[in-house]
Amino acid sequence: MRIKGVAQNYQIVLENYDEMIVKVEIDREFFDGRIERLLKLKEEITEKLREAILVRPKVELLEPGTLPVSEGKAKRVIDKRTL
Amino acid sequence: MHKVEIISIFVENKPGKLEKITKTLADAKINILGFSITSVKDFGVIKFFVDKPKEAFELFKEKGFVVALSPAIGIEMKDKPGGLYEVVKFISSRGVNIENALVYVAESREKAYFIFEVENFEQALEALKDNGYNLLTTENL
Repeated sequence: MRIKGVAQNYQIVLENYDEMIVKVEIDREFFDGRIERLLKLKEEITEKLREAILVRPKVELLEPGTLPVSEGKAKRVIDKRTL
Repeated sequence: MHKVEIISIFVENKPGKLEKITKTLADAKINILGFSITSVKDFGVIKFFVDKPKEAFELFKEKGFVVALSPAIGIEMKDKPGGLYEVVKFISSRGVNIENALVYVAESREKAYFIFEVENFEQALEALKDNGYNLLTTENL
């Protein structure tokens, strides 16, 4: 899935059984100073993910370089759920 | 050109961010003339009106910040009650929509400027210039 404004890195955090947080780094070239544009991007990501996985995730926009870059297979999913 | 420039920085909503940004400006001896912060839960945009905008922009870029430099209009207003009302009335009478704004009060306290961003800068400038209002330029700071 490619969305203009989103950089390569992302991370999915499963907080509990009905909450999924998707953290994405924004593409620095996308930022033009307008907060409205960022809010639209956040909504677009949320909608595209909802269409794909049928769950509405909570999307967080991050600064580039915030998420850990793993060599090889990146740890994309953090499961914090407990039984 | 009757233009000033505003620095915008994308920040995650975390403690210490504003401190880091303002330290960067302080270390480079760049003076903040006005600023605004808009926050929406997990992130925000901090806008600065500074005395050396291009230098500040390059500096933030170099340090890895997500930063943008945008044109803005600075219109002089009287630093007295009703000063802001008078200029925004003029701006709206010319059909110009204000997107973001901040205020810069000159050191003398005799003059103040309403600094604002618009969707279409060239069109807005054309509608506002030559109407008896003084527009600020970066060179005149």
